[in-house]
Amino acid sequence: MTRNYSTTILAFLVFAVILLTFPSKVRSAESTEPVMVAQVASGVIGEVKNNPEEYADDEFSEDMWGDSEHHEAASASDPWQGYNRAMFKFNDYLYFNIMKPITKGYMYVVPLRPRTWTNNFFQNILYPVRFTSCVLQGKFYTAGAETSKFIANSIFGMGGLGNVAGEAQSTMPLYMGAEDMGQTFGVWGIPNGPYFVLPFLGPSTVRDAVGVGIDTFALNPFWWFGIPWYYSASAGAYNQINKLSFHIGEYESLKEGSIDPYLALRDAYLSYRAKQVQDAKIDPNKPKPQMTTNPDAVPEK
Amino acid sequence: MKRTLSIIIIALLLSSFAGTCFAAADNSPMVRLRSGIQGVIEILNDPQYKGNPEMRENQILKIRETIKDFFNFEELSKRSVGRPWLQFTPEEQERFVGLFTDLLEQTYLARIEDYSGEKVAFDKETIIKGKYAQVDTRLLTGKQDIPVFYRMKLKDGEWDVYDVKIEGVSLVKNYRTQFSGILDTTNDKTFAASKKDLFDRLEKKCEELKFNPKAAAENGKK
Repeated sequence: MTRNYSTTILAFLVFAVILLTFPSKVRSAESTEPVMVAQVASGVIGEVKNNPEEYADDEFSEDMWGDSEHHEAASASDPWQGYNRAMFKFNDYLYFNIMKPITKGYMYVVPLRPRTWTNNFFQNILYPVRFTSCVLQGKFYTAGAETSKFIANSIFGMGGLGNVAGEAQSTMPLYMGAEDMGQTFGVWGIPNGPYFVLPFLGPSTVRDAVGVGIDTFALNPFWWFGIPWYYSASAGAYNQINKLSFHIGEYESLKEGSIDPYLALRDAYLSYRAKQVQDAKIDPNKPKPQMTTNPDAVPEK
Repeated sequence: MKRTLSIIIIALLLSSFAGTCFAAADNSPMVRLRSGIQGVIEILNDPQYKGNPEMRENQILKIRETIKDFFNFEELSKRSVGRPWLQFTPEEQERFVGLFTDLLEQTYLARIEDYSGEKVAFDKETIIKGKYAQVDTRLLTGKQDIPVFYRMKLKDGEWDVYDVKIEGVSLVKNYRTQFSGILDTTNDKTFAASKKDLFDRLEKKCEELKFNPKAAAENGKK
């Protein structure tokens, strides 16, 4: 009986403490007392001395969107900027003087459809890369979806040339983000490390470069079965050119609008990768839009 | 008598609240964004510009005006520069907004012309602190949807776009990375010099884009 009594008291006390602290928490979060905020701000920023009101209601803050983590993951550490900029220039030269002319010629000779088949074929062959990363990230349903797509396309899609499964459709929400080892490391909590521009392949980070190495040399079936390396390498190069034929113009438009193309590409790469690492589940039931635009409307006169 | 009076008062109060609610929904970020984008689509569809190269200038001018109406280029510039913005003089700020707006227009207007009847779906709006909003949209290209997030700020009772986010890449943040790479705030002297450098580069870029967009993409190595 006494025991019962004491638990009631304990529960009451805990409850009372929660109730008492809760409103004060709410109040302090909402308080805009400039002195307090300024104290915190000066502690954080360390440069507010004369005008504490300046940062009282921080008009540059982007913290309210709940994607600060994303920004943090995308913030760059770039200690090898000298090397990186030189390699960026090299890749840029390569792109405009070698890769782009070759791809343009290839596009002229090979129509869109066969290029799509080629793309499907390579996508299908690289299934082990995506499967391994899905499993290592614990995305088992997505791994299953990748597997069924691989089987369907290999058997009914003429060894992967067709894409009978279409875009991954499923009855349950899936993570779809073309998984790779770099993303897997990211999901495990390994940070990007310094930004690192790879020759020929372009922007990367130390983490992603290791991932690319594993994806290319361990998980890519072109390097299995004792296939000579020069066949594997040329297949890889061909895949790159075929892939590029779908993306010609993207790099140009990024570069066209930028003041410092190197920094623009660095931010774009890191932001995109951060988003891929933090990719959310995609619901097969597409959200019902509240409204859409009318593509056929003309101005009223 | 008293009761009827109080009922009338309550009814009046309720209707006035309903009125404000309705007004707020009418002026919601999503509605505003949709009408802005729809306006651009209508100009693109306008038959008077079709197959008429002389009218192209007019069309572009009209698109610019429409975009300026629902984009807040001052806020966009301010956030792209970040904190050093507070050390710009009002004249410099104005000059910067002009140049940066020019740069963005020159770059993206050409892309707008690739429009070929895609629909834009508006899925969700989130309002934060009463004056910031994010509208989640998707560009429906038929093959796959491209999610585009618009961030907007309430200014003088109107919601205006100040940032666009596609595939995790934010327009404002991308430019902030570039500008902060140029601006050197160590001391007043370096700041003044780097500020001049920034303006020079912006001006050069705008010139390039105006006269030779192709060369700008290939030679803009600096």
